[in-house]
Amino acid sequence: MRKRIGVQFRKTRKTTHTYERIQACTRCHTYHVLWETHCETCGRAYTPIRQVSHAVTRRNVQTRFLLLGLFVCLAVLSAKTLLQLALAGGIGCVLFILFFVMQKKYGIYERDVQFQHFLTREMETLKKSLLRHLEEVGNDVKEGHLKEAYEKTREIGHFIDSDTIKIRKIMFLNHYVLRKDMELELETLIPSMYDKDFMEYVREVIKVQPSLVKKSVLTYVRRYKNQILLLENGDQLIGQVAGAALRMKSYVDEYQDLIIEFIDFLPRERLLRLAKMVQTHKNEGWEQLYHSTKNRVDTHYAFDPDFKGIL
Amino acid sequence: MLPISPYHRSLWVRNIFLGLFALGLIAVLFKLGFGYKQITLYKQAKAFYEQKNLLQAEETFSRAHDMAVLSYGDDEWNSTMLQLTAIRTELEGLHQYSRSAISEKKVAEIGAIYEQYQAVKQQYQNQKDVPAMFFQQLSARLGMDKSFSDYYLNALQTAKAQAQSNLEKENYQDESFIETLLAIPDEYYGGKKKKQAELSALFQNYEKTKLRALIASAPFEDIITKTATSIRHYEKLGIETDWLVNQLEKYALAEIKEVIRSKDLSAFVDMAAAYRKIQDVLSSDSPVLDSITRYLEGKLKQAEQYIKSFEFTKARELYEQLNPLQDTAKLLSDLEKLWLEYDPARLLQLRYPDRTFTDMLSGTDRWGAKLYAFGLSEADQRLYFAAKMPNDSILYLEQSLDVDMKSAKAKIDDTLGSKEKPVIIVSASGKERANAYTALSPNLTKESLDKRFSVEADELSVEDSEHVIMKNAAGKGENEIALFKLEDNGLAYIEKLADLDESSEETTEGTRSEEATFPADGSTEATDQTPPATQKIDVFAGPGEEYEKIGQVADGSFQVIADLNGWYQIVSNGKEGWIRATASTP
Repeated sequence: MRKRIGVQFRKTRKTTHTYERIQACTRCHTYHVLWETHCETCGRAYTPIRQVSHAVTRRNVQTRFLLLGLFVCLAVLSAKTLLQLALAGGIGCVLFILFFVMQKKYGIYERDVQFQHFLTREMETLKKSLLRHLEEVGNDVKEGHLKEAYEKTREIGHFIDSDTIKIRKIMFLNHYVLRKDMELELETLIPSMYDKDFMEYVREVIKVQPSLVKKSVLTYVRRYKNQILLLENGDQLIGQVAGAALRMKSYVDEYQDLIIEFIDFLPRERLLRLAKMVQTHKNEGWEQLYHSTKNRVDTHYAFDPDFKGIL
Repeated sequence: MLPISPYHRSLWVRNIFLGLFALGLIAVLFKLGFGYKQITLYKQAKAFYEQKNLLQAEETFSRAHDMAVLSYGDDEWNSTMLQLTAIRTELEGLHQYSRSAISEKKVAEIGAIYEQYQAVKQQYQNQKDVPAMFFQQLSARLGMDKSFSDYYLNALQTAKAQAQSNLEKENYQDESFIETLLAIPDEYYGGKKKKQAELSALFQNYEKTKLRALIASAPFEDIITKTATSIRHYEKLGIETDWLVNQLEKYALAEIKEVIRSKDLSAFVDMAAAYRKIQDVLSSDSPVLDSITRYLEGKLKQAEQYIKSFEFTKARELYEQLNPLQDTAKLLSDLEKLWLEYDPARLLQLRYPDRTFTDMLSGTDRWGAKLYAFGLSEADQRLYFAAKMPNDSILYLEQSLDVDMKSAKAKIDDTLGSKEKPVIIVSASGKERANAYTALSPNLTKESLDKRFSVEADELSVEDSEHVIMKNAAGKGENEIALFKLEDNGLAYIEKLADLDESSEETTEGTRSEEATFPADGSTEATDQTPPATQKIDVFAGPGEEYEKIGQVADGSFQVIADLNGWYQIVSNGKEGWIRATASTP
């Protein structure tokens, strides 16, 4: 068992959309998803990607205005008589006003469409920027800056959904003492395959923030319970997970089998809650769970005053 | 390297279009500014036009029109103003050219410009419409009439002075005054007829005076060449030149007649050749050319007479002298042919002019040659042979002889061999016997002179075409009178006819009889034959009795130098003549 150290992780930003995490250096044509505010290469302040896209869209609109203006100029220059001159100028002004009105009315939609196009066009550059960040993570690992490495991987993980990233994050997190005040993640770390480090992390997380155990975690544990049982105190771990599932009635509904199977490993406090829950909902299809709970209480907590009268 | 970002690309595209738009906007501002200026100028021009100030109106309109920013104004009025601009452009162009041409004194160009100006002036004269008024106003402002008038009056005076100066100085190098006088328009002489009369009188006086001066100082060829140059010059300028041609013919005829009279053929040929060079300026019935032709024909006839009287040298000299006037190469060639036929010995003389031939024979129609000649050269111990072949080519052969050339004599013996291909026998003093005999046979087909035999004997006589009799021959036949046969490799001993001692008396007679047979009736072998001493023989001018009888010669008093068709050409007391070949036979 490696020795864990205590750290304070950097606060991560809360955003409505993931793209809001992307910032662009307009000078270097690179993107940044971490917490820096200025480009490390040129020192220029990063600009949110949406703002950059809007600037491009705005310039395109300006270019169209200028093109129209050029045509009007050519028309005026080609005019041979005063009448032609007046017509060229007048029609030019009308077209200009029409175009302006249209732009005012529909420009906002264009911005969104253009932003999507912008992201598509810049996909390759974005990939390169993320790869650069991953290289930085590698360097941090080599230099022993695991905290920065985790923090960066956490930010990159918003854009890359892969087991590699998840396993890395788990590895980094397993180096630290987890605390209640930390912004911990669990669901986002679930790998597609069984991973014992993840289960070790789950064991630690349940201790400090059992509320992070959600449906996906419960499904994962149920799926790989045989491998988990091979771990040291694996049965207790599953029991803790099952205990965490008691937070919501729907979880209990869905994972009755898991709870029944590992009811012996439920902590006293979780068993007490289970007893209360099955007493309340015993006629809603929880009969088997009720009997298992009653059996467990009767065998182990028959004289515990807290359990008295519940079942 | 990252690709260009959309951010930057959009920025650049926007800025490029911004620049283009700025340029377009500047251009539009210029157009509007110039358009305003143009309209203002049109209005000013219209105001000037209404005030009848056409020069100012046209100038203002022209400035507005040159801007070419907008089409503005009344089309009809614009058309009128454009017509005025065309007039101004043309007149100003003429004015500019005239100033330039006057300053550079280019007479022809000034004349052309003047004519153009007069044509334009004529167009607008006596009219009262706007273009005519404009022309008059502009012409007055430019002062073109005065400019031309000043130039031409000055040019007239200068040209006349130059003509007078040339005559006084007798220097006729610069005659540009002729062109100048011709280029001056008729009106400065008082009309076309007056101009013609005045210039005709002036030129005739000038040329007559000039010709007189040249006759007094220059040779014939210079005079006629310079006068012909003047005639060509006048003709080129379109001036009648009969008067000058007549003057020239008159002078030349007198000079030609004088040299004919003085029988100076060389001078005649030079003058005639020079005169024929200028026949392009003469009339086809030029009396001088006729005179030259007549005299030339007379001389050619004289040369023919020389040929007929066999005075080939004189004929050749005459032909050569006349060659500059007429190509006599063909005549000379014919002369050479006739001369060769007359004297084939020239074949050798022409080829070897520096050699002296001691014994020379010539003739015709032997060995397949039309003409032949051969002779002995003592200096280089050789016999030289020349033959003119049927195709007129001349073949030269030679053969070295190992005999005493001082005493050598050559003869043709047509008894030995055949009459058409006889053998040439060269006899000379021998070393072992009294005589040495060498026989040669020309083979013109193979272009060789074959040696048939070379023997020494006291005497050699030809028996027939294949046999000879030798007395006391060296080698086989010694102390004998023996018969020898002519074979390919020489003479072959056949038989002894008599001992030398026994037949000495007979031999003497035989020898005599041999001599009697030697003067053959053939031609060439008569070379050294002389007629009997007491016989008188008629001598003719040519090889035939139709020629004039020029006298008589006694036997032995002449030398036969050639034979031709049964006639001998002889020399007696330094005179040449012909005798009948039979007359010389005994």
